[in-house]
Amino acid sequence: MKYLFTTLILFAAPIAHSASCCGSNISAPALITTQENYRLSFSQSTIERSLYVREDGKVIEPSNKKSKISQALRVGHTVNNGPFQIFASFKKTEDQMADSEIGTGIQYALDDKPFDLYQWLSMGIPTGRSVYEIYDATDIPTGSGVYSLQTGLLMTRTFAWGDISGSLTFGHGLDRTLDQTKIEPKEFASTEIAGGYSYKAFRWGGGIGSSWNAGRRVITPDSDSKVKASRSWPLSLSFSYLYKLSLISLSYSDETLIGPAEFSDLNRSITLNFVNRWY
Amino acid sequence: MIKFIKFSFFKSLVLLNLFLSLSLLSCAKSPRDLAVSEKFLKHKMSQPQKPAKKRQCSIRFPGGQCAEFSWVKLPADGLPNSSEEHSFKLVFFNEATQLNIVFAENLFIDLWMPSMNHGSAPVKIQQTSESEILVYKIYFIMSGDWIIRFKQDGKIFFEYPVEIL
Repeated sequence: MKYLFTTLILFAAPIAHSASCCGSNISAPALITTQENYRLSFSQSTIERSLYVREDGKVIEPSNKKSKISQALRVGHTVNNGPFQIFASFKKTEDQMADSEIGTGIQYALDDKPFDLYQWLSMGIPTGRSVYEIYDATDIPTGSGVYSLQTGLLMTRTFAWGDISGSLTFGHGLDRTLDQTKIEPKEFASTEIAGGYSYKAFRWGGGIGSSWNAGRRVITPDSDSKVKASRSWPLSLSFSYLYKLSLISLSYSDETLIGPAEFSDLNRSITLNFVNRWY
Repeated sequence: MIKFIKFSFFKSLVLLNLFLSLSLLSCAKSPRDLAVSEKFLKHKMSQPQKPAKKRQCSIRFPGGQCAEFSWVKLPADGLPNSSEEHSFKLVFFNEATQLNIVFAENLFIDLWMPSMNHGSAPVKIQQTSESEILVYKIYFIMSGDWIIRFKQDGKIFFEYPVEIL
């Protein structure tokens, strides 16, 4: 039971956001960290833009804190019961397609170690609409507009009372030209420490992370400018219930509590997540 | 006796008439008087008024034309935001004479966010009169500092700053 809960480490981890222009290009990878071979999860989040950090560092409380609904579908498969796995995630924001991700991971065999170690490599796919592709009044930005490559490490340790984990992610966007706009993204990184207490079928968890994006250079016929770097510190809490191989969890993430934040929207979100696993 | 009653009645009538006449003179005006008053009012209104406040040249065009900028549609709290539609109108006028003129041709307007180097959905322009245009379908898609760019013949000649909170 405790081992099955380690999957929740990934879902308790906050989804880190970069500057509002660039969409969400950092996310907790859809890795399988338990014994099953297949995993399917669906989540729905209500995200409120609570604060906004301007380019000059001033923190503004928006007059209009309109919330938006975001949904994600994640699938994962362990290949031939071995250490390798493949995964994918697809997202929607306000019923419009957001960016997707495909990747592969490996679990290192560390039989003599008390913790498990995973590494992954994934590609972010700009299936969402970027800020450079707004052509109609009904269009909203839902993606970064660029492909990206990222790699990361996840370490987990399980105890009789619960679990702890730590992750580190590093990535870089790939240059892309959209219409007459050339985008040259830079690197991004995130880190996170999380833990949880388990009692029978219940788990209470929390985590603290840091998300950083170095910005990008954007070249248009009229201008050539650098978008400033952004940073935020998401804090998360979660509660979950395990039933056989299925799981339901409720988590809260808040980027407004810890700073300093730089040039970013600071969001609060509530996420409901369903996970189904099988062999 | 009858003579006395008749005389008293007659006297009362005279007094009553006198009283009524006095009250009419003091309070009521005859229709003819009203008609004269209205004519007087119309005459007064047609006289040159005190000079109006000088119109502000919000936007100066390369050819020397001026335009007055005023928001038409704003959110309920009066502050532009990142989720609702906005609109503004431009009234073109000659700064020296303060009279309206035909609006500038070849005018292109778009929204731009300098810090992120991107724009928004194209705005719509509608000519509402010879000297006035309405610019609508204005959506600032995120918070931050925006500019409304005014271009003529492909060149930006004016930038109107808007802060979206």
